[in-house]
Amino acid sequence: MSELKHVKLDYLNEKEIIEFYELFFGNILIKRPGFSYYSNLSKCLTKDNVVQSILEKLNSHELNILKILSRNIYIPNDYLIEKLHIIMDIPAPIIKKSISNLIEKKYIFIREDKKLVIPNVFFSDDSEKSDYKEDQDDPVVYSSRALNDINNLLNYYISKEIKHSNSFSLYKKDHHDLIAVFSNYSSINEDEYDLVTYFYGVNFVDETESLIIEKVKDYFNLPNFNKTMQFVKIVFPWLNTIISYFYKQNTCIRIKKDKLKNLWVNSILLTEYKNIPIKFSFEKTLKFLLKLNLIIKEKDEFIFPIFKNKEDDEFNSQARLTSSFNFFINADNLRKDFYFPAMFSDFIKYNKIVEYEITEYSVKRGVINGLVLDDVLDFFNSFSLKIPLNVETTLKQWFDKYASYFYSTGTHFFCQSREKGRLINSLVEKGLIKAYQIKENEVFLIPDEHKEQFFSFIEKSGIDFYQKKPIKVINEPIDKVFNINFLLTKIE
Amino acid sequence: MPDINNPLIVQSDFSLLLEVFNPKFEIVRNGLTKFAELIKSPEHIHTYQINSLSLWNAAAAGNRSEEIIVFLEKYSKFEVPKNVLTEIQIIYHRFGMVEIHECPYDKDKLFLVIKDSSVEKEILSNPKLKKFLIDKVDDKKYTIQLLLRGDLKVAFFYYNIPVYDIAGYVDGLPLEINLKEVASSKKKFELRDYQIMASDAFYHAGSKFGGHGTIVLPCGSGKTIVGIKIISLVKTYTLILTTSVVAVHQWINEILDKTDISPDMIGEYTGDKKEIKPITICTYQILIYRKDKESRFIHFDIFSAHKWGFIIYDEVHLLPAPIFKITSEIQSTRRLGLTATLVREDKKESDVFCLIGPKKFDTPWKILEKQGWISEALCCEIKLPLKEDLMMEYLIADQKSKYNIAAQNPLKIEVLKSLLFQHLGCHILIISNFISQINDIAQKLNLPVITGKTPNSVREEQYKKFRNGELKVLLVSKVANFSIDLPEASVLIQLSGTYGSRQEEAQRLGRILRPKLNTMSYFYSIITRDSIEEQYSHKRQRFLTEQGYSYKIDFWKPEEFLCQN
Repeated sequence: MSELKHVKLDYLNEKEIIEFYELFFGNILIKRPGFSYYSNLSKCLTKDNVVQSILEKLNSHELNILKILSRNIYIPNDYLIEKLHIIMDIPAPIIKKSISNLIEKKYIFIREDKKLVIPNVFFSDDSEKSDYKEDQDDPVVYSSRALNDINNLLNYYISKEIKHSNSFSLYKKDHHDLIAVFSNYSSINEDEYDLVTYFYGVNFVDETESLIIEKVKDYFNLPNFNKTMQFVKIVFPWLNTIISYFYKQNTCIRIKKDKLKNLWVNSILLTEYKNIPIKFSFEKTLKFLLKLNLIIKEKDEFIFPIFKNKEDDEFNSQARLTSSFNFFINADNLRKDFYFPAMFSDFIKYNKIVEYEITEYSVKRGVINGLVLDDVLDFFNSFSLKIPLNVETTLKQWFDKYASYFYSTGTHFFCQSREKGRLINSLVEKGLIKAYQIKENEVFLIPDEHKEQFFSFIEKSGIDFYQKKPIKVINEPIDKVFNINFLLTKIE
Repeated sequence: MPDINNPLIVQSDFSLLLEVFNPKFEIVRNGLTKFAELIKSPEHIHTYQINSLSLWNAAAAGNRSEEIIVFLEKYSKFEVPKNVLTEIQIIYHRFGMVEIHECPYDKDKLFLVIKDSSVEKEILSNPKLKKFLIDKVDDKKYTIQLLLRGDLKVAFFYYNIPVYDIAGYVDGLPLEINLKEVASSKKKFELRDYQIMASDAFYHAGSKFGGHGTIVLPCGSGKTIVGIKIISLVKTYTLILTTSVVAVHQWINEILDKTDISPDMIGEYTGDKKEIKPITICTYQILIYRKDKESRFIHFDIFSAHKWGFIIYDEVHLLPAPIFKITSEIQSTRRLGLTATLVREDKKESDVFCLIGPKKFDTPWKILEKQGWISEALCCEIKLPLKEDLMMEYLIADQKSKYNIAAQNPLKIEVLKSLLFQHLGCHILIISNFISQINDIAQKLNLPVITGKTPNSVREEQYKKFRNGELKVLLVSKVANFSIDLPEASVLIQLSGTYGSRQEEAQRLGRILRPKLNTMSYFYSIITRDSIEEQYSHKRQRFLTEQGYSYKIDFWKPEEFLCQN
């Protein structure tokens, strides 16, 4: 902290100005006429020792956190503790306490619990702009071994229905299993597995940890570079902001490491997160981005090239299916349905060749995920594979076994006639409401999670309906008497 | 150099994938047998695994690491991962780093020679290994107790230090025994090429580099003959341990048939007889018999009853744990393990390596099938519904009872009848794990039965009748899983099995693999569909498909049963 910059406090509201004034000068009991908190404070804060004296009251953690926060006037309050934990690598409880103190002591302010307002008076502006250089270069065809590893890890997660903690980390046992399958061949190391878990947890499964197949399809349908960008967007939203800016320049960008780190800190602080940010240090992130081939290192500089996808992605589409229920496919296969075997078989081995095993339970999983036998047979046929007879017969049997019965919970919606039902069906088909037809144009099942939206929509649409209460079964009075002789004595 | 047309994919986790439909497949398969374990061999792709044990087995058989590396590079489709090449050399390097030598001046002791000072440090710093060393007699040379030779090998192996045992053997009493050119059964007797190769690999011209190890050959390929050939090479008093009394008798018959030894030189040591002769054959069961858990194994005395020069462990994958222990004390005796599969359900393959000896010979089943030495087998699973009146009982039963109900599905007899009719005139074995099921079927179809309760003399008689064609169908319990030589059997119908035991499946298939003239063998499993039995059966089925057998699945519908009736 050396020289003070020009003091400007017009982003503080009246209440904040008063409180900030009081931080320095205490409560004013009697104000002279024409007194202005704002102008008074602005004048006083140009004096170095005034600010210094107030900063001396903070402990080192509070001071450091205030310094980081002071890079920006407004900072979103979502996951701020987690963000600072990533940036500063100090325990979250300390950060929490320090922020709470800073707010309580009126060093900083919080508005509607959504954003922090940091008076820009405490430190000289450290967060100067990060400079970069532009470098003319042709677009590079994107490819990455690490992306293959990510795709296969995702398939493993799908195949094992991996569950994760609230912070999107793997549970210990799953982590061990993953190491056993992947550590030997994967370029992604153990620390980085959590990045894939994060992507899987945020992007591929819903809050009940059920697979959202459409999301999986969408991802695997993307060309390679877009897959990587999708990954970055989810896992490192801050980086997505930076990269998007760079790519808009339509030229290679060179940036020094310290400048990039500066950008990293600011971007993390300013990015709004929908999910808890993943804890991954700057250094580790750089290493991972190098593996992803998104950046190139040259001495102390990092280059962000411009990428393009292969015009016609060739894919090695060889596969084998054996009578011992094993399916082999090249690990670097670029098929759009590369995820498909994971849906109905167990991912058991990862190397140059990925090995799956089809089991009764994996088929059951496939059935639950909505697959039918023909989907699986079509998949094998797309490789021109001869399906061994015992495998085909057994698959038929398993699909038959597990698809025979199922249940679903929700609310039944009855239509008095098929004609009336067609209206509801057309709304479903147009995606305006979500419901499943139980009986064509007559009975629909509304899943619990869509019930509110369903009824709100049809109410607004003017479709009248009523709730038919289930008929209560009233027990008939027991028409039976028992002998009460033993209770009575006849008096003669 | 890597060539996309090559059949081999070497992966960084030491697994090898071999493409079957490749012109170089056979060359590569034969080469891999020397240093990699075949994990599974279904159609299209065979999976092998290189591990310490497979490499040390290769080293013990005299293969060099450089040859292995050149081989992998020559036939690999892609570049061989660097870690695989480096690790092979490191693992190989450890073999022979520690050797056991004879101690010329003290018969109760041996020398442990350590060839590498870092390995020596590793041993000295580990109390569990150091305790075996008595005195340092020279640079990296220590004395050890003769009796702890086996324990030492197991302990060192546990710490990744394979011990090369070249201390030689104690000579047993000499025995004059030779193979006949014409067997007593008047048939010309000649060893097959692979039997000669196997016995030579084991015997190693009588040098101390041979003399202990395991030979892996498929069921029906003549492992007994290999054992007899080696007895004729070592020419010493021999103890043979096998799985059952019937197997004991088969060994005796084969030895008498194929060698010039007289019957009075062969003894049977079983529950029935306790003979100890220059060649003695006994069962594992009698050896591990004891009155209670606290008592000693009284029949272990047989190991010291004679000055045995050679011990054969038949079906070594079934060797009971107490026999491992006694074997560790008799490491100065030549030892041969015979098996069709080194897979042990108790995962004690390393004990077989340390105490019986490394694998000396192995050959893929399919090679012998192709050469006509074992029969080609067609496997078929027939699924049938559960009788309706049993369905409710099945649904409310616990897991074990569910299996019992499904396995003993009364409708199985209808399928059985149909199969018997289909294979009329063939030698058919019907096998079941349930005595009640066996008795029921025997009664209904009037079939001869062999179970654990059948006296040995009756069993032998039945087997004899089956061999000479007087009986065409034999109904047996699981006593016939192992070591029963019924070369004529060409159809096996499995009514029930021991849950998902893969080993049992392989052994049962082995019963019908003896080569036959112009005849295929048929292996049927009859199982109840949509039941727990189906899950176990699937596990067994997978094991056979992994061995390269294709499987056909057939369904019997309820209407078919109506027609039958």
